[in-house]
Amino acid sequence: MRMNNPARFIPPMLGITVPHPFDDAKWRYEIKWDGYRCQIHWTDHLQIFSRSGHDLLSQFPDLADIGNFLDVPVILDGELIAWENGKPSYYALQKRTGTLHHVVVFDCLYADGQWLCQKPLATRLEWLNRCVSTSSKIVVADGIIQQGTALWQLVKDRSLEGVMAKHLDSPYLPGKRVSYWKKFLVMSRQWTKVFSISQSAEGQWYWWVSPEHDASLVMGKLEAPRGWVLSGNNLAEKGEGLNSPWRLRRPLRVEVEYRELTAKGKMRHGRIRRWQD
Amino acid sequence: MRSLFKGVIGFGLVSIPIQVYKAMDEEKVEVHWIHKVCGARIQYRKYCPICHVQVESAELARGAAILDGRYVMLDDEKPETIRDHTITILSFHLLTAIDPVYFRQAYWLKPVAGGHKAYRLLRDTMQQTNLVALAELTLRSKLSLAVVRTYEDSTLMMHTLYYPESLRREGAQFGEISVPVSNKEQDMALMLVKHMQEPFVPENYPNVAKHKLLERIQNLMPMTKDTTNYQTTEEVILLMEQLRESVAQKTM
Repeated sequence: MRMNNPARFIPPMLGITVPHPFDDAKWRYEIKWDGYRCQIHWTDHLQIFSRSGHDLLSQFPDLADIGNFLDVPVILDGELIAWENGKPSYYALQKRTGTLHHVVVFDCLYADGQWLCQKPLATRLEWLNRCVSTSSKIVVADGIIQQGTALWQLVKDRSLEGVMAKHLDSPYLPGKRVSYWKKFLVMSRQWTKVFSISQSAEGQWYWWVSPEHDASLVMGKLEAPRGWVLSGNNLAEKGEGLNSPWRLRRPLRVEVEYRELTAKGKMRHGRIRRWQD
Repeated sequence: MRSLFKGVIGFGLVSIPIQVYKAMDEEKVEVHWIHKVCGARIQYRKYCPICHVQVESAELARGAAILDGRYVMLDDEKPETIRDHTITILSFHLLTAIDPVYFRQAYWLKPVAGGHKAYRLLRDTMQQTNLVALAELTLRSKLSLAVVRTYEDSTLMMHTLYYPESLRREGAQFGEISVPVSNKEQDMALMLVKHMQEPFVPENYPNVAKHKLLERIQNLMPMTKDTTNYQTTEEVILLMEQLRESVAQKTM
């Protein structure tokens, strides 16, 4: 692949998913942030590309000033996140709930007139830390050498998305899914349906999450996200009894994530990742 | 306000020592070309397209284009550096006799020690006679015509003038038209003009575009930039640091 024009999008490198964490002194471990993969080009002007090369800057105009905090021309790989209640919120990102957006940058493909893709990760990280510093909405990713299992345990305690493991000698191969980038995820994800909702005495709505084809099994009752508004004509009938739910005329499609499922099919540490009305 | 130079008004046998100040602010806000990527101001370099070199000042000469596209070099004669800042009064005229088309740049003339009496005499006399002085001076090594007059009864002001021959005369004929106009139309126009006549109040005409641009610049200044709401950046870093510390403790 020819890469002589730094203004052009480069398909990002992808990692494989592995079931278990591991420890290795030749590997670096980073928190995997739940957001949109993004590529920042600060060459003659600022561009932010999505994973597939679409323009993200027009969707997140609040990031238009990040070039002010980059001193030399660079191309950075990173994750665009919306920060809410102490962690990235994927649905806040998707629904643009007005939270602040950040980019966590973890790789540097080009800096100061030089292409770095062929250089090992350790060298690219040196460039990243030399050319970019955490300021404003840019956060330079931290990483830990060798202690992958320990980091994974902590990430799990905090219900973050997972851990990325990267081999320190690995080059950056645009568009390739490579085995020297591995991710181990804390949470399982699944598309579900909400057929019923209930309301607490305080007025908080709860979504009753069920498998897409089984309305009788309730995997969990999750707090309805902020920013979701119930349209009145979507309520069907209310069941018998004080705490019985309302049935919805049009079920919601919801992607949930959870640590594990119990034997009875209930989610542990379940939460909403995104939804469609 | 910084004085441009010290000089004298030469008036017959009398010379009046004065300081010269620029009277008008630039209406343009000064902006420069900046390299977007690093924020540095762009430099202009003198480049020769034939030799492909950057040209040093020793190799530079002035040239004037001639009709066939070539240049004649003017470098045999060094531009004279005249330090004589004398505003020599040539004659007196009615201000209305000098068309505003010739007026170029305005300067304040401030009397300095030893010149107050003569300054006052000249000012009062021009005020009484309703005349202004036509003068000649050298400004930045160029000879220029000027008018010296009183401004609001108190201060002498100087206006540099274009040389009358610079006026493109052929434009003066643009208005020679012979379309008949009726008395009625004439009266209507007169009525309208009279109706729209009002005293000139300078404050009524602010430079809106300039103020807007200055306000924009003000808002872009680094210290006015809102940095308070990046507390969340701190939170991201704190989380990363906490995890790093915990990993270190676990493996100790």
